[in-house]
Amino acid sequence: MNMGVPILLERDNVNDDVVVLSHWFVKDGEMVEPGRLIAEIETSKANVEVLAPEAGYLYWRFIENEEISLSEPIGHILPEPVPVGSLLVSSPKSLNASSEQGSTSILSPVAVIDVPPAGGKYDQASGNWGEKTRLIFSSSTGYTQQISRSAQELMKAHNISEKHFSGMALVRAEDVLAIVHGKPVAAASSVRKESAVGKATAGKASREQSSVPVTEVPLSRMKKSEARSLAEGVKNTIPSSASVTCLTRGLRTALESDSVVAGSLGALVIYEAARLLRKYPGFNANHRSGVMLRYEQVNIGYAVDDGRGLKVVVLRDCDQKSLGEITAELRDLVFAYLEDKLTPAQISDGTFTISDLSGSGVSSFVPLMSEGQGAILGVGSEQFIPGSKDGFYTITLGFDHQLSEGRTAALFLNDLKDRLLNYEKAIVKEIYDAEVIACARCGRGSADLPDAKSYMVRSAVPPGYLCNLCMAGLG
Amino acid sequence: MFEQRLLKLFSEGRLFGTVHTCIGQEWTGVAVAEHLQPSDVIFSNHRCHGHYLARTGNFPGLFAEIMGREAGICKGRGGSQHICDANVFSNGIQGGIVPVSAGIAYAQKIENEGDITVVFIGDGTLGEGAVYESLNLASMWGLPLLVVLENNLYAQSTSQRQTLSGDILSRPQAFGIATMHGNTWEPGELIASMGQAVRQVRETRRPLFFRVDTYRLMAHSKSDDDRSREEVEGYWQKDLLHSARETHPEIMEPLTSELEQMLDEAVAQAERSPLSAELETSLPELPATWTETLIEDKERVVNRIYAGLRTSMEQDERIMLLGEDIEGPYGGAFKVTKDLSQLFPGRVRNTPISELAITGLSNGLALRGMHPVTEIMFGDFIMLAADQWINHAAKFQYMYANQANVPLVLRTPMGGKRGYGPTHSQSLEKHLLGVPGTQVLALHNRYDPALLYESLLKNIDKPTLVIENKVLYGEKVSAEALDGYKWFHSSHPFPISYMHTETPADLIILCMGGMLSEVEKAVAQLFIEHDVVAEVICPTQIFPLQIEVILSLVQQSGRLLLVEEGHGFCGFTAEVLAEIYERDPGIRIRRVYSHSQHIPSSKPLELEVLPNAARIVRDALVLGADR
Repeated sequence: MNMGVPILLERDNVNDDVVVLSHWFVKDGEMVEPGRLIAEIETSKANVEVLAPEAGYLYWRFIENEEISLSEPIGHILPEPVPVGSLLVSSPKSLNASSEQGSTSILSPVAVIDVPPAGGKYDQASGNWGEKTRLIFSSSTGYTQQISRSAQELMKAHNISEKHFSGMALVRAEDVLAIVHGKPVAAASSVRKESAVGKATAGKASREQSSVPVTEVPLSRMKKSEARSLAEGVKNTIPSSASVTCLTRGLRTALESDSVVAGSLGALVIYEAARLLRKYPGFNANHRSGVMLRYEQVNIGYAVDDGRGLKVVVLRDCDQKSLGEITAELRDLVFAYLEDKLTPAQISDGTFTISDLSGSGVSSFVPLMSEGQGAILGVGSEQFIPGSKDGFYTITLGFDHQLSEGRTAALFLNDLKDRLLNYEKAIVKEIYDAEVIACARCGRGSADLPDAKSYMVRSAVPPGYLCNLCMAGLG
Repeated sequence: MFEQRLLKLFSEGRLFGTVHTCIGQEWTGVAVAEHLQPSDVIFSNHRCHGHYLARTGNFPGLFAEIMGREAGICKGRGGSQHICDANVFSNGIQGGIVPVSAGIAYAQKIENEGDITVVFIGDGTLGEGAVYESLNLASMWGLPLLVVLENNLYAQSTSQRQTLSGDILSRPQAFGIATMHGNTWEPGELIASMGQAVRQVRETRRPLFFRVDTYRLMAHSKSDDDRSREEVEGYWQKDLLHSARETHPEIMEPLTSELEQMLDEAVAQAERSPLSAELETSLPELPATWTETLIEDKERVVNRIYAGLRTSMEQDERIMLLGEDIEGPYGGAFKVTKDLSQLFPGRVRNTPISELAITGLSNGLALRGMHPVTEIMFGDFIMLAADQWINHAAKFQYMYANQANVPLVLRTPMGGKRGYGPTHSQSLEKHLLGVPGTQVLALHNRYDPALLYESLLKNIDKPTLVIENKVLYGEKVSAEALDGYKWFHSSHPFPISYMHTETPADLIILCMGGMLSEVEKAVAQLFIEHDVVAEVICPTQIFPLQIEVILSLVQQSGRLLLVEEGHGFCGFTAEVLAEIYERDPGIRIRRVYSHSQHIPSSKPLELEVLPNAARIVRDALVLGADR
């Protein structure tokens, strides 16, 4: 059977074995030309577009919102349209290892059923068979799913989607009930005790029923993937951290108003940290089985999140780039994030991460290391004592104690602090003018206050002044 | 003398069975044997010793055979009336040997080497219809068959006056067959006329009927002679050999003692051989592997049968098709054979309506090395051919100790649901299942019939009955399974088809042939409406059954529902149930079969009588009621 040209996805992210086909832009069986946008794939880090590799008739192998393994083509392009009713198009594949569907192009041994041999007798009393023989099946196409009537009704009643049963050839009421109750699927009949391959997913631990009513909110694939990655990070490291307080007179503001740099604290930290990582390679490494794997590149990941999801954009070879280059690159990456145009290459291969909460007001925090890394730097917000020109902010280094220790972390942080202070000394100017006292929230000058009772107060967060109207929430 | 010695041995208890002596008729065999060439064939009946010995002189071998010894010409399997050696055959079924002989003669005609076949019948045989069917065919198709009728005036105990109307020779003459006659009291003339007869058949390649008047001096078999003593005595006096003892003792006595001695030695030699003791064994079943059935084109069953036959005929010149109305452009009652007669001129032949004779003819063709594929138009008619199947085709290989085999294919459609009524809708295969030495296949539309026929005809070595199904003829051959299932087939030459799903099944439904479509409907309904997961086994080989493989599948669920279109009593499903139960009494089994009555023509009633999806679903639910 001519299976045509398969449309394969590239593996872009070391983390992803499974992605989601979020959208088809062409119909099943539609004629496409090379380069046409045919589908969108959602990975744990970004959405990827898929283009048709050549001209022909495109046939789906999966439907929208299905999970796909990266080793499988998402479809085929055939030179001729396939007649209706043909057996070519196969079903949703199962990712369940136990169902062993085999590849679509080669006959390969598939389900091996443990079956008693001739002469083996089934013993009703004990429910035991004699010794087993194996039946060997070889097939090359998948099963088309069928759902019984009662199963369909149950699914509708309990609002259970068909996705739970992808890979199951026949779906019965009892299979649906298993999902509903979270119990393992009971054997379909009391006669059979020994298992055949293809037992429905058992092993779902029964949830504890809390007495407080809840609403189920499914977590996005990205969030789940993020969780998986962090879990990996925690599992493979012995996390520890150290913090250092940096004095400042308003580094952040100064940076932003500097026409030359026109940049952010983030870019500066990336720049300085990159150079320091050459001095402290233990923080640009990964631990595996008692060995430190030192990365030869310094690719710094910078966490961004505007509320639509946390992503870490990666700037490569930061130790080789100038501050200007880093600033420009960071800006481009942030724009790409905002416009949802990040490519997988832009969010992968990081060796060190910076989590910059300097604009959030958070004083200090312990950031979590990402999977495959040995350290992460967290930057806190500037804190000002009211009335004082001098403020401080905290930088925290989370690190893997298998690779380094508190002393090295302290050295790293102090070095970084000095670099930043040095920079500050170069550019910070005195910016506060008595005549230009303004509310840091609403921007009213003292002259714009509505009445004599209104007043301004020095503020640490946000730094500067606040008018009483803002403090009262009257804006 | 041989015969007399046999009678003596019989009374001494040194023989098995009975003997039908030809004392008094010996000259017939001599006259014929005198003129035959080695590749001419003699086909005789129960009274065959004279014919055999005249040709071969193999006294020890025949003694040994009748005494049940390994050294016997058929290893003691055939005994007195079933012999096969040096192109001399015999069978104990009188009329049936005639069409078989005609078939051998037909093969000789095709070989075109000038050989002929001689068949010996008696006047009693003229009661059998098979004789007339065969004479009709032999004459019409110009077969080199010499029919020698030994007219001894009696059929066992019944005088010809009671059995025979009209005149003996008028019968073949009515079919346009040349006739001659002679008698055993003028042996010189008999031998000469017989020579003329043999020559004529050899040269004209047309049949000839020779009546030999004679008399059987001893009983039909043994001690069952109620003929009048005077009549018998009169013939003893007339007998040349007998009277020669008195008139020419100087010739007869030395001859007699020489022959007696020879007979003594022959008997002794025979008795030195051990008694036959070997049982037939069957090979153990091989384990099966399962392959997904993939069928690309979707053609109708009837076209796939045609394709299989055509391919096979292209590859093997020995394959011939015989049947009623099979030549093109009519192409068969169900249009299976289509234009094959035009593609293979002379190898596809319309026959008269003579199921017995055409099957017998096919047996003869097969014995002589052709590979006939014979169509019986409706399965309901197959009982007309049953004698040829059971007493000839099935037995030749065994009783002739593997000196011959019958690579015959009989194909016929069975099944109802067309409103054809009681005699055109039946599933009668059960009456022909289980005959040792044969195999029975049943087609269905989930495994390509072309593959089945090609596989069968490439390796045909035993008589095979292929059951087709009338309603299935119009169905498309495809491996489309219900959603959630796939079709697999086993690795046997005639595979078991298996509709399998990944979910562990609650029960297995086993059926064959046309019932598959009802079973598929039932499986769909069982799942969708009742959440019951049933798998389907549909073997293409229904005798002998690959029971171990079937058992291994059934044991997964422990429940088996058997479905057949025929009647349940002693039917296919009864056999499967018995064989499964014998091996594993833990399996729960139920059967669905035809209602115990004849099949009416009125369609709605017919559909109630025959098993349908609703009944299958009901029984499946009953079977699984303990879930």
